[in-house]
Amino acid sequence: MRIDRLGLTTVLALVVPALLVGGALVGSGALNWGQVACWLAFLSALTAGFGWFATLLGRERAGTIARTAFRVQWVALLGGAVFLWWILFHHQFQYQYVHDYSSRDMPGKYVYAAFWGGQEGTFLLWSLLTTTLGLILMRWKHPLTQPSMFFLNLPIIMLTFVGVVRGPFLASRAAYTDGVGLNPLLQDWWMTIHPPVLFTGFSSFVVPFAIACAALLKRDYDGWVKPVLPWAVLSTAVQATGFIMGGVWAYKVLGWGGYWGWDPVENGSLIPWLCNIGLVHGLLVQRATGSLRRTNFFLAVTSYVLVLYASFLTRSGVLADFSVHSFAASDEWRIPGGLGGFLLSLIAMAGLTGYGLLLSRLREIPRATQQLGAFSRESFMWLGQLVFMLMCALVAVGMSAPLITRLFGPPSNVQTSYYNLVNGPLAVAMGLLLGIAPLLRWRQHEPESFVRAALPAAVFAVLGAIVAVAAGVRTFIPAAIVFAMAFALAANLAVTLRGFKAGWKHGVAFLGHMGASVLLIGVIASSGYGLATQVQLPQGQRRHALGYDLVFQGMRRDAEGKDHAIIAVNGDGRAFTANAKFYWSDYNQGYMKKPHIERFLTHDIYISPLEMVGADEAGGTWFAVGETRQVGNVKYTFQSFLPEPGDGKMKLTANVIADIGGRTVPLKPVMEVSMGGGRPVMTPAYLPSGGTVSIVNADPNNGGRVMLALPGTERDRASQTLAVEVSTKPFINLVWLGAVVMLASAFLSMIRRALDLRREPVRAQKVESAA
Amino acid sequence: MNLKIILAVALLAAAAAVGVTSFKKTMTPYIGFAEARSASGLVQVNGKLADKNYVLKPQEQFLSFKLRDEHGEVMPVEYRGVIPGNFDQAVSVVAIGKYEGDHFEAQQLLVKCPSKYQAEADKAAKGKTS
Repeated sequence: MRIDRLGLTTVLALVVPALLVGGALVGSGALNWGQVACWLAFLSALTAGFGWFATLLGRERAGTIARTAFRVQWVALLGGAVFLWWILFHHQFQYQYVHDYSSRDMPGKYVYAAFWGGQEGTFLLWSLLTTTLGLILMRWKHPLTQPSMFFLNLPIIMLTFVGVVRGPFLASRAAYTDGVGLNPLLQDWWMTIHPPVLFTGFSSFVVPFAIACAALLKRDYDGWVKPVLPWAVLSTAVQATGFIMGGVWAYKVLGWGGYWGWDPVENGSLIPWLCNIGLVHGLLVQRATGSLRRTNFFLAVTSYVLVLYASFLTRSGVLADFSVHSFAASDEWRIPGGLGGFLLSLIAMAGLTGYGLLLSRLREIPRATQQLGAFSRESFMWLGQLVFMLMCALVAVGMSAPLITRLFGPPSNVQTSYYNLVNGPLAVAMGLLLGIAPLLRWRQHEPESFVRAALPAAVFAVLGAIVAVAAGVRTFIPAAIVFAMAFALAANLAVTLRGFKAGWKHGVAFLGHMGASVLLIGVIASSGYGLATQVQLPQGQRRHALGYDLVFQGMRRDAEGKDHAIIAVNGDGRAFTANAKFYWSDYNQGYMKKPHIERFLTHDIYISPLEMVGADEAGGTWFAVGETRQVGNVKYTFQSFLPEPGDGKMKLTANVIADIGGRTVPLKPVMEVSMGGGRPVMTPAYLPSGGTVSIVNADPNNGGRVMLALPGTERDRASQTLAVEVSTKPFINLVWLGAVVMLASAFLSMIRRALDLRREPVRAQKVESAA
Repeated sequence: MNLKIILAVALLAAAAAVGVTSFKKTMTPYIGFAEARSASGLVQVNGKLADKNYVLKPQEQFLSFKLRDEHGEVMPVEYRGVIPGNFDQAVSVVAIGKYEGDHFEAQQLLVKCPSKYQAEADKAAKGKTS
């Protein structure tokens, strides 16, 4: 990096006042260094924005200021991030964010993930990632670089502004000595890397958006295609990595047995990705034939707008009543100046800029010199693009249902079956197009030679469908999907092999098609045709389910103090011990359950603990006021309740008299109920003999009753019964295999497109048409 | 008209038709208790637990409770299926189902607990201040 005098002046003009003023403010206690970093990032982003704006007006020298300010901004954001990690690792609970998302007892390997535990840290991460991508884009030597950087910097100005107003460095509202901690569901290895990967994916959509805007502004309607391709494929690849990680986490941790649930958060990351895949294929068509210019600009802008729209839906709280998965409190979006309003203005900014530029240039963008040929690769790729856009639109409509229906009447939501209903037929069309397009040549193809090329694939597809029907797939759409995907698999296998003979670059993309078809066949098999049953397992007794022998051996506590249910299982020619986490979480005020997954080549056995049956009910004896019961040689009489309302709590003391062979002992077990919900806290009373009497449950209605746990009648640990769900996931390995192949293909394609950038355009054209 | 345009129009029309019918078929309006009593299809209602006197029978996978909406109206709800593990701590409950005879028969429950995904400052301030 060469810094000339102007650059040096910029650095000094930004950093010196920041250090002096910031230092003074930190000294006086008005700000902390994290907030100073946020301010510096915001002011640098503004400076960079003005700099690049000046270059658009022809002031080339301003580019130096802009680039330098942009680097300062990156350093400031990195400083903010390091500071956030530092206060997290050092348990600085004077920061509200540290208190809200971490705690002293949190395992160190999860502390760093608390960074993105909440909204404020997430926005900081988003700013940092976008700026990092900008640093890479800035190295690109091209007339479109400066205008692209201007457009890339626009959302960063707004994101860093959030950092200033609502950063993660606000002081605590009270003097805390410990924090709330991070949701245990998120305390998982996959969860520590899944959010940053998804956020890299989300952030990366800004680059195609920025290059498209720059190309529209500079009227360079074809020159942007080659340089934008590696970026567009990068988004495809990174976002797909995020999906797969999320899917693995859901499958291995959440225990409901699936990897994809059509939740608003999942849908929100799916729609820009679908749009982006449409863009990638449109760009390839434009490069080979010169058509789809307008469509590609539209898709590049829309992908980013959808990223912002999805963030709005899931982070503003508008869907809070419709999803258990929303991140925000339900009133967040109504607050003026809240994140909802901010995200809406971000959408407005990106939409007005992108669509405004496209509309203003729409008439002058040249049409293709040659129309899309009737029977050619580009025609079928265009249809495929259409299918992706339809999937995207229908998923977007579904996830927006509460907003759309609110316009006409009571807000409604669609069941998740909606997504399967609409995407099923589209997946069939997708599979057929996925098989047909790669077999065709650009421009024009003779139907006879296509039939010859497609015949083996069609035969394979018919065989695949017959096998599927024989294996029990008896409904039309799933069978049709298997047929179409088998066709796509075989057709792309042929094309991939042919491509690899000519060099790896010619085969990688089609390898991705194969991965996608294998993935979808796996999805059909594993989600629709597994067996599931619920079974009660009394400890030590043999039970049968789905042909497996299960014996619940008891609970075992691990080093972290978490309980595991241990079940000996015998079946499918294998004897194994299932070990499923099943413990009480104070954080969630509920039982955390992690399934045991026993993997076989052709299927998984999925054992998910449901609950300990009867553990609470067997725990005590109900007493009405004045009632006396004898247990062993002790007579207990429940005399009265003493309720004491306190600060957000209700303290309930039961007055119990124990009569032990004529000697009476007053006992006062206590139960404290917090009004905000939460598990009641019980304080037992002690008998002279050493036993304890505690309240298990209380019922102030019906004249007042109390359930007491008495020595000798206490729940008998040996007679616990565990309820589990046992299910099989046939061919789940196809899902992971397909996903990994698809992912490898996407990353290799990205490298290939980046390498293409260094070649002569003419040669790149040839490579494309040879495949 | 070439083949490509015909295919595209057919695809669009088919997707629109499937989209609209699926949307209507799976739509569950979010409505008040009074409307829920007279609604025909699946609906969603939400409210808070009216009291802690609910009946939970894990063995039979049966749950019966009373839901109170924001107007203070109370409606009995019954649910048969896997009991949500955090039901005891529910702050508010979304029930999807339909009204049958004298109660709302839920097919699906969404249980919302405090601080599941976002720390709730008030609760925390109460619990852990020194």
